[in-house]
Formats: sequence, structure tokens, C-alpha cells
Amino acid sequence: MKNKLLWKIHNWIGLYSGVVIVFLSITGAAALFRPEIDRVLNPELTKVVPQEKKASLTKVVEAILSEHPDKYLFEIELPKPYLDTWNIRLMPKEKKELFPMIWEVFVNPYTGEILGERNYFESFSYFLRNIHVRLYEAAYGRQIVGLAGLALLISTITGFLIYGQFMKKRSFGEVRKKNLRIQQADLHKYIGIAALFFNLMISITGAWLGLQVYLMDAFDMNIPSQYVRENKPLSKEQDTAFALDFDKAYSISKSAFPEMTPWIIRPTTNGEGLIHIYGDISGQTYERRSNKLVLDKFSYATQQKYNISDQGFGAKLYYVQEAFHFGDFAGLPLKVLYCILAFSSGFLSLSGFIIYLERIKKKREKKENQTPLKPLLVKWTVGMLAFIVIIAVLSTNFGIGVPSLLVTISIYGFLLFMILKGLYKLVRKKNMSSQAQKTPV
Amino acid sequence: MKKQVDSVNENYLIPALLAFGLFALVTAVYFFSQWSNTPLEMKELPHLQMNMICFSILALLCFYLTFLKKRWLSIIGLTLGLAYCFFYL
Repeated sequence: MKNKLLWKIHNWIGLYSGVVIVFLSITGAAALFRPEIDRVLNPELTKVVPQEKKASLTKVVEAILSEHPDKYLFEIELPKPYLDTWNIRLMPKEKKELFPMIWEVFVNPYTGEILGERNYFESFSYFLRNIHVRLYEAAYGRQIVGLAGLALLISTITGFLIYGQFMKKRSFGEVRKKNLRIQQADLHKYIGIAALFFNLMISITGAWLGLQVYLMDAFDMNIPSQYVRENKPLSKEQDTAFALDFDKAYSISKSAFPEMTPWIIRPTTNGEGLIHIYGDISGQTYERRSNKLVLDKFSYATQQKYNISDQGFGAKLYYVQEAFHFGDFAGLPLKVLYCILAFSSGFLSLSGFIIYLERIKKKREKKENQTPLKPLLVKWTVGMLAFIVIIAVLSTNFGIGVPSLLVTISIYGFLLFMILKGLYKLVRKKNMSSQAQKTPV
Repeated sequence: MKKQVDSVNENYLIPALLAFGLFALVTAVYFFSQWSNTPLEMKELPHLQMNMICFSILALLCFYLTFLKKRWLSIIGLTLGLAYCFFYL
């Protein structure tokens, strides 16, 4: 009885969240290689030949800001694996709701030459991240993905709990080829159990990342590395326009925090008068920018030095989520392993769907207009790929606004359509039964 | 006559071996990445190399044991793996 309930949960969760899990496994597998893909697609922006002398970062930033009077400095991304150049990120002073912008200016750090500019939201790299993280649904996309992570977690646990009962007297690896349902069921069990560890890890981290905002609110949590200056010495305008010596900030960070390789320099714009320098420490398995040095804008004195290795379990657990979810802690070989395993989650949803359809085959065959298995799978695959391609084209041409609007309308429009269809069917059924009662025999 | 299957090994030890094997594989890849990015003169190099080799062997051992289907070998494999993690990580 207990196992029957577990099987029912496994069956229904898989059925209702399977499409999203397949979609997330495909987009997730691609999103793993974001920096590598960006480097291949934009070598003119990301690759330079190393030279002995470096240009002055401060002068470069000043020159760029004077060329873009309608924008202010958001952050500077420094060279790191897959990026040889300085990426100076600017934000528009006047924001447009439908066309948001983070303007990226790529600079050769040795000569100071501007190599090219782009809106980050129109880059293919951003598309890869956003399609996986938010499905391009602006309001609750991240939460929908988080719920899919939760569904995968429940599905993985229930799958493991009923595994023994379904194996009965068979041994691991024995695939029966009696019919499509049995063959798929055997593969579903073996791949599911082989990728159990990965699916557990990816679902827990995915659910956390997606539902983070709500969970942090519920548990009254703050970002572990958060540093807030209570007495703001500047106004927002003064803080934003504050002239900084970025070369000095960089060299101070190297001497004050030698273990950390600085990745991002981000000055505050809210009046706090601070410079946040985020970076990576070699050998850590935490989110790359979890280490931080905070400097005062006036004196360049250290306000906070945050090395995640020195923090407690809670902070470590917080910063391990993204690195573990995206396999970003052991270079390209781990990403390749993650990519293969990511497809296993998709396969499990797909094989589960095939098993379900084959199980109700006779029932389906009695119905009119039923689509056979193969065309049905082709229809869903083509639909999914078409959706990805359309969003990619829209995103790389118009940024985030237009595709988000389209996806949001489509998702909620579809949901509304399904509710109205259900209500119509219900009302029609009621009418027909009441008419049948009125008709004299 | 239907062959006898050791359900404890099939339903519990093999999933545990596969899960641990995958963990060992990910850990081996991590140590490989660290080892390949560490300059030759650094002191940690032999430690990284040792962990990389040991976790690779552990991963292979776990995957191999799933196909051997011997209860006691599975238990020994898991115990060895967990003991190594406990003492060296």
C-alpha cells in the first residue's frame, strides 16, 4: 500500500513536471558551457595576446565613461579563465522597462584599446543562462524552475524508494526486450539509479536556487557575505560620480587579500562610499565570487575581508549551491561529465512518459483523434526546439524584454485557455446530464 | 529454474555503490583539475596527485563491483571508499 502511494506520487509528478525537466536538462547542459561558448562566438571581444606592460584601468574607465555620458559604471570584470580582456559594464541612467541594458565594453588590458561593445542582454551567453534559470518568464520564472527542481527531488526520492519493489528478482543491468514499455521501464530504472547521486544534488541545488528568495525570507536569512554601511557618507549621485583609482584598488586587493584572484570590482552607487571586490580562491568548490574585499572609497582602507574558507557551515552551504549546480569547480572535464549526466535527467522524464503512454495504450486507442507515440514525441520535440530557437532569435536581437513578454503571455494565456476549456467541458457535461434526466423514457 | 538474486545487494548496495562511484568520479575530476592547474614547484602537488589517483581507482572499483554482484565485495568496496574519504578528505 505504502509503495503504491509512492509509485502514484512518482507517476503523477513525473507526468506533470516531465516536460519542464526535459527542457531544463537540455538548456542546463548547454548553460554549463556559457563562458566557453561566449569565447568561441566572440573571440574579438574575449581573446588578446599577452604583453608585458598593462594599460591603466583608471584611465580606460574614465575614457569610456566620458564617451557614454548617459550611463554610469556598474562593475569591471577582470581577466579570468575564458576571458583575457577587461569587461567594463555600464548601466543606463534612465532605464527602459521593456529594453533593459547592461552595456559591456571590452578592452585590451595591455594596450587600453576598445575591442568592441554590446548589450549583455542581447548576447547569446545571456540567452543560455536566462532560458535555463528563468525560462524567459519575467515574473515567476525562477520560482517555476525552483518548483521543477523540487519535483525532480521528490521524483528521485520516490523512484529510489520503489526501485527495489520494481526490480523484484531481476539483477541490475538486465534489460528485457519483450516490448517497448518493458524495455523503457528497465532503462528508466537503471539510468535512474545510476544517476541518483547527480539527480539528488542537481534537484536540491536547483530547488534552492529557484526558491532562494522565498526560502531566505521564510528563514529570515541574509546573504552571508553582506556588508552594509549604516551611515551613508555620500548621496546616491555623489557616490555614483565618485572618481576612483581602480589601479590602486586592484593593487591593494592583491596585497590585502593575496589568496584571492580579483574577478569583479564593483563600486557602490547607493551612498555607502564603498568598493566591493569579488574574487576566486584556487581550490575552492564555492561560487566563484563568494570571496570579497570591501574598501572605503575615500581612504582605500579595508572594511571587510571575506574568505569563504574561514566561514561557518551555513555560509559554506550557501555558497556551494551554484558551483555544484553548474559544475563550476573543476574545469572543463567536470562540465563534460555534468553535461552527460544532465541528459540522464531528461532521458528519465522522456522514458517515464513513454512508459505511461504505453501503459494506457489500449485506453488511448479507443479514443478518436489519438496521436500515436512517435508523432506525439516528434511534435513535442519540434515544439520545444522551435520555442528555444524563437526565443534565441528574439533575445539576441531585442534583448530580454520582448521574449519575456511573449513567454509570459504564452504561459499564462495557455493556463487560462486550459482552465476555460476545463470549465466549458464541465458545464457542457452538466447540461447534457440534466437534459438526459428531463427527456422522458 | 529461475536464478537466485541477492535482493540486498541488488536493491541497496548497488545503488549505494553507483552513488558513491559518481561522487568519487566527480572528486577525482576536481583533484585532476587542481593538479593540472598547480605549478610544478608547489608543495601540494603530490597530495593532489595521490587523491586524484585514489579517487579514480575508487570510482572504477565501485562501477566494477556493481557488475560483479557479490554482496561482501560490495560491502568491502563501500567500506574502503568511505574510510578513505573519512581519513583523507
